[in-house]
Amino acid sequence: MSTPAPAFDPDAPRDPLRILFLALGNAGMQLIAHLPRRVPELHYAAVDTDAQALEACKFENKLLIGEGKTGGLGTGSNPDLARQCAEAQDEELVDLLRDMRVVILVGGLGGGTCGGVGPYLAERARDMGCVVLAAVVRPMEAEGGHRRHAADAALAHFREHCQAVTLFPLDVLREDNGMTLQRLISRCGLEISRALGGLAVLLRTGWLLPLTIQDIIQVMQRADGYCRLVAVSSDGEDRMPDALDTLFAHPLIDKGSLLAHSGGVVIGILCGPKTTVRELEHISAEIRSVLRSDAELKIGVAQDERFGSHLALVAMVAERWSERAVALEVVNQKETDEDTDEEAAPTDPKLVQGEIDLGANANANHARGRFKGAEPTIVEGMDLDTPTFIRKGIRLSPPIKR
Amino acid sequence: MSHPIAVLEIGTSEVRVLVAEPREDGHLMITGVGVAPSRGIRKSEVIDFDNALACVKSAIQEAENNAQVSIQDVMLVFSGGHIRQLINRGTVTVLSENRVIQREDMDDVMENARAVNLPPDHEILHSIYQHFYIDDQPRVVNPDGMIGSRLSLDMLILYGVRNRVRNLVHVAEEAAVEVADAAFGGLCSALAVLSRQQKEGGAIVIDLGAGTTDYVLYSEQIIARAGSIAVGGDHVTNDISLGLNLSGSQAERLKRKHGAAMIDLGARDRKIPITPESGYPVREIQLRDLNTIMHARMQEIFELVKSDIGKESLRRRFSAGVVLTGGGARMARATELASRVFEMPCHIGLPKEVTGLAMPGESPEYAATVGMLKYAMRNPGATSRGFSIKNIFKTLFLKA
Ligand SMILES: Nc1nc2c(ncn2[C@@H]2O[C@H](COP(=O)(O)OP(=O)(O)OP(=O)(O)O)[C@@H](O)[C@H]2O)c(=O)[nH]1
Ligand SMILES: Nc1ncnc2c1ncn2[C@@H]1O[C@H](COP(=O)(O)OP(=O)(O)O)[C@@H](O)[C@H]1O
Ligand SMILES: [Mg+2]
Ligand SMILES: [Mg+2]
Repeated sequence: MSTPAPAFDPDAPRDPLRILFLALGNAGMQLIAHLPRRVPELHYAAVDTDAQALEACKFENKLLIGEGKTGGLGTGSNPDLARQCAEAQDEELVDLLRDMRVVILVGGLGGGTCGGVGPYLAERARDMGCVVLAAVVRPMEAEGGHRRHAADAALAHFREHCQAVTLFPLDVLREDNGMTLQRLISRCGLEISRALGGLAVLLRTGWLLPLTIQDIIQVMQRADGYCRLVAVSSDGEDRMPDALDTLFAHPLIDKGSLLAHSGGVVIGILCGPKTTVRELEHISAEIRSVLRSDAELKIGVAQDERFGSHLALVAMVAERWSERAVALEVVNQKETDEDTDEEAAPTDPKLVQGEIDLGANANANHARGRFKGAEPTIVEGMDLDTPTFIRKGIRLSPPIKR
Repeated sequence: MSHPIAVLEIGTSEVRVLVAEPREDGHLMITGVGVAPSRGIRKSEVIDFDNALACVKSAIQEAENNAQVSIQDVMLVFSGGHIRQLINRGTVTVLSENRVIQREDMDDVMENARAVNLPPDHEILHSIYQHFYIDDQPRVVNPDGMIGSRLSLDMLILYGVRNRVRNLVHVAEEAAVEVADAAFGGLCSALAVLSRQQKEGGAIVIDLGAGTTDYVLYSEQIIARAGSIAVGGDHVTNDISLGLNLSGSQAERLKRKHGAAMIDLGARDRKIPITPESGYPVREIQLRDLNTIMHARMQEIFELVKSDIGKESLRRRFSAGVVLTGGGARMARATELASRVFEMPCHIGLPKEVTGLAMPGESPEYAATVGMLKYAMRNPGATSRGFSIKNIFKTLFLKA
């Protein structure tokens, strides 16, 4: 864990980070429709090509674009058209972004407005010096190949300009065969609102352990920008184990396996004033214990009166962490000249395995085991007969004593 | 009625023999199965001739008994990490005066495309047509009768160390059967599990064997790439046995029964008791450790296949996604991991269009043998041609 804050004063005003939620298209507006009620201290705006949909939206700031081009009827899943609409009204769009520090774009990737206007806005916001995140919904498999391809293309465009893209695949939120479409979409909205709301509150609230937008950006840079974002909360006696269990079983992080495999994770803990140090220690230890030993973990704790006895966890989990498999020697070398804020990785392959006795030389020769007599499999200088976990320096638990 | 055909796969985990007859609906009717646990085979190659011979004999015997036939010749399925690929473009000038491409031009260009310089001791195992080009007009499927001045052809050539494959053939011959034909297991697996549409739409078939991982890439109706990497299920087992300090057979049992290619945080605290073998103390292991070890290895295997295939080839469309065959496909959540690594859907491929003795149709590890049977059924001449490892699959892979 990182060092605790030197002096914590919950009443000290923190530089209020100006965070704008920008809903794009029908999906965007529906997904975060209820967020302003829950977290009123943030800014909300909506952009659409569809006049009627925009009319129904209750946000403070709304902008209809491309009326001349679409007759105010939406683009009919045409991102190119949507982009033209955006370009034509660039000034008005820029006005929406003015004075904001963080811009969070929300929408359905399969939609024309979201897919076309979103990346455009992301680029403009970056030009203006904003931190730009996108929270986008990936269409269902059942929506068909065309939508899926359009969504993939849109995702790539978002990725070009955003610091982090958090993906919400509709399919993984499906609960059972009886689930209605309406329910699926509202579940998705709920998850997005919780996660984004949690993240925003975390970034603005008085903290116990610091977690800043910079921390998040740093982790996301190494993650190639793609991540999953999920928030869970719990109350009562067992709130801590409950919250952890819910998190570890959450479909948005593939029932926990994404967490277990991720190279970089940011965890934000939101709590009321009643949370004890013991509880925080426990959460942090539990999370650490399920992560890869080489994963980069950042934990922040924020306190907010509104949470009372509630506890919420917000997890940002890097989806890709493209580090190539490297031979052990290389790992060791790299780790000594890189400053890690985690405890130093062991440099002796023997220590990697804790108490597991791998014999005097836990190297290629010893590990040949079954492959004695066969030609070694060497690829790019790596002896693949040596166990992967040894070459990658992955630590296992010490043997269980009975 | 055509006579039964026998296929022999000398795998790293098992030696398998299938005997089958074609049915009128085009399906295969399997009439005999013989299986023996492999000995003397590592990474799909012979390391102990006598042991290997003993298992091959016993598998053949068993198949003969339950098919009630005497097996004289077999189609051999092989693999091995020594197998390499290259794509060679052959070009010829169209000879006829009116520039109409004729059969002879096509034969010429094929021969030309097949003429490659290989390292010493290597030989061509398969030469598989990809696309024709007429005066640089790409992607011509059948140039016969078209007009042009230059005809080119891309040929995918799989080659390998001569003696490695010959050793397998030699084992079979010592077991008193003639090897009528032989083919790379990866190609066979793809043939068994892919439908015509899947071949057209594009697919990556990965056969997760015990000693090697074989792959084949179908794209735009052709076989774009194929290869073999000498890592497989044995490596997973070996990693488990070293990491958790278990014997090989304990590790294998544990892998099949409790293992998975992904870590399940819901069961993160689960412990598994290990039944002691002599010399090993009674103890428990953490499920999480087991799956961490397996995940690391399986992820690496998929990444190796991915980088072997290359970024360029992966940019194509694969509407059928990744299809897993071989015993390793049975590993819990292997499809999930593959789908994450390749960023496309993934499913287990089961041999299609087979009936008869139940096992093969439901088992991904029978994909290669069933694929070879299918090939043999469609090319009845193959079995009487005698051993010629050179032009195998020529007709078969001309089009999807
Ligand atoms: N309509 C709608 N779509 C949703 C919702 N939640 C997620 N989506 C997804 O968002 C995509 C639809 O995009 P829309 O929001 O309708 O499209 P748009 O951005 O308004 O763009 P246009 O095509 O111009 O209307 C679909 O592919 C759905 O997968 C929702 O609440 N409503
Ligand atoms: N349920 C299972 N889970 C994990 N691995 C399995 C399972 N069943 C079989 N295997 C593995 O599949 C491999 C054997 O696959 P197979 O295709 O028969 O290989 P080969 O053709 O090389 O003999 C072995 O490594 C075995 O451990
Ligand atoms: Mg719309
Ligand atoms: Mg096999």
